[in-house]
Amino acid sequence: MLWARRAVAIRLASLYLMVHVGPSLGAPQASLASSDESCIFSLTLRNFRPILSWELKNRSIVPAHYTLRHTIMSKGADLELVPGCANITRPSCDVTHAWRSLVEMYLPWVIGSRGSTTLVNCVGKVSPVLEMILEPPEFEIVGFVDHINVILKFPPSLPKLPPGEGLWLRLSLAIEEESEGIVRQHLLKIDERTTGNFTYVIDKLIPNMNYCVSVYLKSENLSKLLRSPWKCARLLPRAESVSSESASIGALMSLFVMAAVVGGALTVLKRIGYICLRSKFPKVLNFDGVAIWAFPKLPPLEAVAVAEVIHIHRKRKVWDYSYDDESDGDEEAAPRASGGGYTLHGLAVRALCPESPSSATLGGSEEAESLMAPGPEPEPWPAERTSGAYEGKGAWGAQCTSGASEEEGTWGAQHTSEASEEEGTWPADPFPREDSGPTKSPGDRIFFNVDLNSVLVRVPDGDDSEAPAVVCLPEETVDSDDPEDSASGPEDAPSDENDTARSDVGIGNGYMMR
Amino acid sequence: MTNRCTLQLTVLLCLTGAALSVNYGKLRFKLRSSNSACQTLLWQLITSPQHCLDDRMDFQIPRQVEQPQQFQKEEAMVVMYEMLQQIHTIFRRSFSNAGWNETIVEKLLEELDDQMDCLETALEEIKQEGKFPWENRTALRLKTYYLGILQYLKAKFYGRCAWTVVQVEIFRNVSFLNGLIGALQD
Repeated sequence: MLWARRAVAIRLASLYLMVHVGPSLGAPQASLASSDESCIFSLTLRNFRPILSWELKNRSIVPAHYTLRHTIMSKGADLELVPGCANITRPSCDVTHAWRSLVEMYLPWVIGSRGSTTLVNCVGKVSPVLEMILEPPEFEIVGFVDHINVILKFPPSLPKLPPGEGLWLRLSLAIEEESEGIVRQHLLKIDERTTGNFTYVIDKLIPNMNYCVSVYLKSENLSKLLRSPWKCARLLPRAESVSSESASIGALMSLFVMAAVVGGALTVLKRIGYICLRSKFPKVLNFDGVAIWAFPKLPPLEAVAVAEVIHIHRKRKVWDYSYDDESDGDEEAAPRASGGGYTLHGLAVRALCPESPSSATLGGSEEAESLMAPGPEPEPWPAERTSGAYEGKGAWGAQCTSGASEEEGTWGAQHTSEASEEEGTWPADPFPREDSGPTKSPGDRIFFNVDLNSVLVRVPDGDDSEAPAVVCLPEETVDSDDPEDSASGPEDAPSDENDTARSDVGIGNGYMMR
Repeated sequence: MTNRCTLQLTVLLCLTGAALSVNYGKLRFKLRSSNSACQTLLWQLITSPQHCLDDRMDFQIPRQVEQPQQFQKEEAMVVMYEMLQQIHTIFRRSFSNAGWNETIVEKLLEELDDQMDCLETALEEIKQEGKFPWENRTALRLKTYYLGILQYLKAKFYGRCAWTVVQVEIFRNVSFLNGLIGALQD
């Protein structure tokens, strides 16, 4: 009770002194007792330095100068002026060396004045544990292929405080990287060695992806933290240089291959003559000095003797169905001479050459049809003889391929060579007959058997003055049903003796004129 | 057969030990979150401390509490439990003081109870493990410390500034508890 009375007396005395004597002693006019709570205080840890800032609720009041004092509640300490925060113009103060404990409750007292007028007298309570804002450090990021470098900018040195003291103690730095909604956190312990620019590498990242990074300070005791704005970077694609090198190598290879293919194709085309044809032809194909008419000359025609062919028209005897007379064969067999040396069974040839070595009568019972004047149908021999002189100069060629000429030569059954110029040389009948020997008849006509199968008679053209070679068969009567009289092929003619027997009558079987 | 039984017993003991062992990670999380809530509630209780500068008192909390790094986790738990228990006792005496927000006080007491419940479970486990620190001097010093707080209140006739000073001191205690929670490492 006595103690309480003494305490009250002491308070009244101090208040009296403060109000009346204080101003004369230099104490601020404003007193803590008259202070109010017109300021909003905020504490921010910036670069590991606690910065106390204040803002007036009444913004219309703008003091020119500020003075900051402080005290703590755990001890009965006096209000102390914060070093470097007297008559400051900015509404903030660095309290690094004044405020060192996180667990304390600090009482800041701000007096704002303009001149000698006190405009602001505010006091507040600040607990670093609850209210200190951890401002993140400045940083930059650099993206690479599969990692990001986070360059953190810390102060060059930490505040020098007694061990165990300092508001930045037991802090850790959290680095978060985010990509496509996935966030990874990296924690860095901060101690006295964390000074200056510090580079942290975030590795094991996916190339060609967009990553965003944010940093913030973290403490187990401190609840208020401030996250930095996200900074993003897109990583480089993996093996970008390799891909570009491979692309260039691939392009060169492609060009080389294409050039090789094109060159090979051109070479092949040139070889086969599709392109770049030679303008230099071989000599044999050089027709510059050659006459336009390049056809070779025809070989000279074989000299062919022009012979007069006498048609022998035989009257076809119609069988009257009488079997009385059998003298037909005799009559037929017997040659019937006619005037002028014509035979009925032979091909009378009048040689123009008197010295014909041989002659042959065209004989045989066979009838040789004239092929020189082909008709639509084989016609019976006319009764009249149409003579046609086949004048041969003695050069017969059975299969003479030479050109017609009036050259005198020898007769040949199958003579393919040129006729010789021997006049009157008649070739031996390759199929001699008994009566094949030439017989001269008046009028220099030689009669001989000729195998028409081996006779090649050429009809001279109209310019020839000689009589056209017309094969005329002797006229004779032939039974209609006599198979031997029919115009047979050459297979019947040559070797038949019967034919020889009838050779002097006319043209036997198998004789034909070509 | 003998080896089989031995193996089964070993597995059983391991499982039992795993079940009975304290999950310090979970305990830390729960204590820290509750402690943060207590700080916020106390801060709301403290109003205009600048008017009670004259009632300020240095109650001299044990220095070991200010430097919790030296504690083993079992000692830290014991210390924490003692502090929580004393704080709870102090604030139970404040119901009679008018002017306080009773809702805040009730919430504060609930948070303190939750923390004590978690610590009791853990302390039972370490007691069964035989690791209970029976002779903990810090705990005894805390008892003296909190007795002085109670005597201050009594002397101050449980005045408003006395209570403000005590609130501020308890606020500091809760901050020290955060340090002690950090000592509960596996």
